[in-house]
Amino acid sequence: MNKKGDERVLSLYWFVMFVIISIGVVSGVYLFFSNQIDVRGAEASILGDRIVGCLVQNGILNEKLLEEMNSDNFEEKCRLILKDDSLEAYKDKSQFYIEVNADGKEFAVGDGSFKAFCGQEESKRNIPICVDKILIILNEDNEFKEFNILVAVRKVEQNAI
Amino acid sequence: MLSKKGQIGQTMTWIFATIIVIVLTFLFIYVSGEIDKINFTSSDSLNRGDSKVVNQQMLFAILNKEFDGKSVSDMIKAKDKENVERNVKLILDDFSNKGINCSFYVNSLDVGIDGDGEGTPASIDVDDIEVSLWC
Repeated sequence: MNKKGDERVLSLYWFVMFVIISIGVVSGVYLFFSNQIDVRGAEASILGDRIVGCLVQNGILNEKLLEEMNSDNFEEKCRLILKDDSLEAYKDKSQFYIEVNADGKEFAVGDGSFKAFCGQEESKRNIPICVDKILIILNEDNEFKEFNILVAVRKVEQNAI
Repeated sequence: MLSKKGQIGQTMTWIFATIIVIVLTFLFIYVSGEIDKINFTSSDSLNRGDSKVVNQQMLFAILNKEFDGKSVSDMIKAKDKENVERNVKLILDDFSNKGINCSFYVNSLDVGIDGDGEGTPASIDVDDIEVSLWC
């Protein structure tokens, strides 16, 4: 009889122990994985690199491609897909803004309203992040020309909320 | 009496075991919280837009720039240290006037032009001569 009593007390301890460990593991894992990682800066930088790679080969601006390029055919010419269907809200509204200024030619793709937020990333998290790339490259006449790319990525819901 | 001593001993063991488990659990939660605060992925250089690709394209541009029909890479291949130094300095001064500070280095020719360049260096080999640029 006494031994049976001991078993019951022990099983209660086991249960309490199990609950404590479970709460601990769940809390620890939740704390670790609940943090949002904001990768928009990296995403914008990689996108900027892809655009540089598209328009500049071996440090020389591809003027023929630049001449043919405009806001409508930019994705096709640079083999980029800027459409993001990962969230329902993203299907109707572009999450990118790209502004290219090369050798006097300028064009923009995406939602132009994001540009107003550039340079204000320190003040708020839930605004688009901008990356500005400035480089000096050669044109086909062996002259150095400035090449500017501004890339803004919104995707606030996936990175900053 | 003997039976009661055994019960007290066992209870003490369980109390200490429970305390250890609770301490370890809180330690686990605390460490998880501290690791969570460390920013592993967001890098300032990425957010500034610095990249090796940009430096690499600018390095290619410098190497392809021609002076009197001869490119900088031809001068490096010919190990013409004097012309490389003079012309690249002119190029980097031009870059600096446009707001981009770069440093240039040619390994085996012992050419080093420090233009206060920062960021990730881009390097390529011109006929086994390592050339680097960082802006």
